[in-house]
Amino acid sequence: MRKPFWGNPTVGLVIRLWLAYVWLFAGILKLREPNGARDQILGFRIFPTDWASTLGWVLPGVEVLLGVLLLVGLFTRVAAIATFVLQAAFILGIASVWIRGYDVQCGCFGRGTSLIPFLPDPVDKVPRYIVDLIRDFFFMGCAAWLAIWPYTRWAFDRRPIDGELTHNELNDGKFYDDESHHYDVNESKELDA
Amino acid sequence: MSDKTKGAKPGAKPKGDKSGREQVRQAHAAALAADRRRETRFRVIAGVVVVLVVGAIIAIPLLTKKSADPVPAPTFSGSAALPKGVTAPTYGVNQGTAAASKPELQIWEDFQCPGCGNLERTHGAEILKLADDGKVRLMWRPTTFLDPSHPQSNQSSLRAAAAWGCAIDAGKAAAYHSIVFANQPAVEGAGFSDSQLLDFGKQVGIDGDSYTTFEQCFNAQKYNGWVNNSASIFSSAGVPGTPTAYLTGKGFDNKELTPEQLNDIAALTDLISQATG
Repeated sequence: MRKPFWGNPTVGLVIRLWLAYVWLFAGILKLREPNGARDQILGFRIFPTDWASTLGWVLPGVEVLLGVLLLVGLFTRVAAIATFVLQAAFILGIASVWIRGYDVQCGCFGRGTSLIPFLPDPVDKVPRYIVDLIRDFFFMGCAAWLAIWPYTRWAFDRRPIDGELTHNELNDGKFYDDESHHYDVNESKELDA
Repeated sequence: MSDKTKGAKPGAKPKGDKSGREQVRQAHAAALAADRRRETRFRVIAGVVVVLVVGAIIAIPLLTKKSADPVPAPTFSGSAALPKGVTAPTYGVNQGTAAASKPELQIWEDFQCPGCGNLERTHGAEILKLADDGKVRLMWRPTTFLDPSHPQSNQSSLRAAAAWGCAIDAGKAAAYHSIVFANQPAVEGAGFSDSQLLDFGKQVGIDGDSYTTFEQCFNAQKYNGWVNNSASIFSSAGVPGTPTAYLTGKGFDNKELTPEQLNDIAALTDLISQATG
């Protein structure tokens, strides 16, 4: 049975692993810094020094946690919503320093590191901000997919949360929702009906 | 189909007058639901175990990491040698002729920072003139926070600032400050070579015996300690980056200036006269 693209659990797996890679990469690089992400956070001139010191460790800790959850596919929807919210916050932060005229490295992946090693961030601030924003919007889109369709291949959670179809591969064409309604996709109708 | 079957026990007596088929269906659905609850519980527990294991695999090497950083964090030393005119506790480089009653403008800079180079090239002379005219006490405060971002630059921020210290001794503080920024590499992080930094000294007119002293001072890394002191204050004070300017005077208590204020010399002059009171 060929599954449709939207909500496809295999596509979902690719998105989930991609976001996991992004979070683990970002979080681990920040945790390796002497002050965590404090110095980059200070650059945004949003949080006072003592807040930034705490956030400097909390933020990369959360990033690594989300990365691990997405990696194994546990609490995927919660992790995806948290990812969506964090990316929205990053977008607001970058837009805010851009509007206020500061030239800061976003420090998204630690100091002087780019997500794709052979494709460094632009040096000039405006193209760099644009690249950062487009990238964060893309991550938001990925997170939205997982929040809408959290059931992916090779995950620890397979069960639907809100009575959605699971697209569960194990069920061999038969889908179950949270109320255990029984569907047979080959007959394209609810058996209970 | 609106009645809930979730939670119904297999074999439970169905409500109302239901056909046998309906009873079987309900029992089947309930058994299925119970199966799925068991499966969920198993998956969550197994998942949490895997998260803990993977988390530990990631966290343990990080927490036990040796500080094998190629660029060590700056350390403070009370006994560091200081260039002429530089004093504790700020370790800043004072410029101009303004009286102590005038407002003070501190500018944090890293010689590898493009924004600092841009500020110096576009407005450096005007800001220096405000100081030379006695309107503001200007203080340059060096830092090296970009060195760890550019390990291939071989600590160019530190070396350039230390060479600057030697040039301050030779009486060329402003000229050397300006020539380093004027010769920043096109790409951030390409850095400065030792011979470049020595050559800048010649270009700003350090010659004869003074040059010998300058060269010896630089080669002996005489002022690395001074620069590290200033850089460690930058870090501990949580200065948010470079260039960052703070104005202190009437109504301004170490107030961070916005990029607009710093890059608009008319606005800056206004602020300084306000702060003069």
